[in-house]
Amino acid sequence: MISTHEYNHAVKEYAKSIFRFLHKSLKDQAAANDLVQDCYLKLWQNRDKVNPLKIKPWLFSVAHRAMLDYLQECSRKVRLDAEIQAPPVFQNTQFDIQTVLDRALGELPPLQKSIILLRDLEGYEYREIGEMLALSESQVKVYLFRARQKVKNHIKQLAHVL
Amino acid sequence: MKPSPEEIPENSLDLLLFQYVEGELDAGQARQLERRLATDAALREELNLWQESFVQADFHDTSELEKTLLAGKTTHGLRFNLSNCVLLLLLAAMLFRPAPATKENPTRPVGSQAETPIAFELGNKLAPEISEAGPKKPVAANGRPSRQNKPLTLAEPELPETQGNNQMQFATIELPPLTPHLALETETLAIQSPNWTDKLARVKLKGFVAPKKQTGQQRRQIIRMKEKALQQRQANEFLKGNVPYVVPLKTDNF
Repeated sequence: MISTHEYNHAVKEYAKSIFRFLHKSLKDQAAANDLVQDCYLKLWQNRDKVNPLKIKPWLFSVAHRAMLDYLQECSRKVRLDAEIQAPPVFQNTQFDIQTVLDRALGELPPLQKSIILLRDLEGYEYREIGEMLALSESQVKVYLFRARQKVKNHIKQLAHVL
Repeated sequence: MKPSPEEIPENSLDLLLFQYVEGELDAGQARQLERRLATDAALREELNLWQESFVQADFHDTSELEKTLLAGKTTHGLRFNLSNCVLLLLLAAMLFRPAPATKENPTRPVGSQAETPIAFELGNKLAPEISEAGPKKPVAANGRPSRQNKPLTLAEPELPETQGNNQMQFATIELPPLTPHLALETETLAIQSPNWTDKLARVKLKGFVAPKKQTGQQRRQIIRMKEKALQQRQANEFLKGNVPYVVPLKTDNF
């Protein structure tokens, strides 16, 4: 059972992390904000069932599922041309590792993306990530290895081109 | 489909570098790899790529900084540094400056206790506290107190004419030097006193300028302005990111 105080504490402490996780995954600020709201609404609605000591993992698992649902929903929709924003043109000749990394992340499957984000941004252990995403520790390790390998290869390819 | 651990080639160089950047190698294996890295440039380049595959946050977490800044602002009240102390002393000297002596009483300053009697006009009954002092002021022929020798403030009787003139009694109590602030307190005390419930005296003090009464429109305008200011403040807080996303203030709404 989560008290209002614990809930408010969770909002204060974890809202930014959840938003960062979702924003990195979706690259859509408005959608990330909406999903953060949904996550906290679900937390409040399920406050009787959630263990107060495991609020953060619970929130991340909900955020991951919400992200999957959102991506699935988006796949069924076709965006209008007007909505598609043209990426800004950079005249920077310097190799921008962050942009490349973001592009590589965008090409990862959602599960691998979630694992790499939870590991790198939040610093979770394999076991904790496994609890959140309903995977075993070794499965998390395999997924993380594959995700990192893909990102590394992506960077390598672009580095060769540039 | 979920992978099994066997799907990773155990002896691959990638796995070794992955475990190294993840900090999973034991000390011996790590030392061995570092010795190899020292001589192999291609391996070093590969390791750099692995290290660059770590995701960085788009923005830095400023919560610690915010806490530090907010902690600095939580010291309410005055800070007793030298300039504030000097200002306070000057202010105190201005407030408590002795008044110039009068001609009649060179030793007594204007506005002292003896010169500020206040007459409370009551009905049939005097309050017990006042009756102890006894009436000191002369009563005029019409039953109203004489306005002579009322230097600063005096009650303007507002009782209806139906009150018998002969039943009017006056009491003079001596109060400390009169200031508008003190006069206000006195009026409040007189109205709220439980002993004076029969006939409440309304005291109007000369020399005290009461604040202008606001009309209903002005009051509504002020309320609207306050609401706007509050909304603006909340919007600013939201823009700063200080407002959490969802906080149910009233849990009944959920």
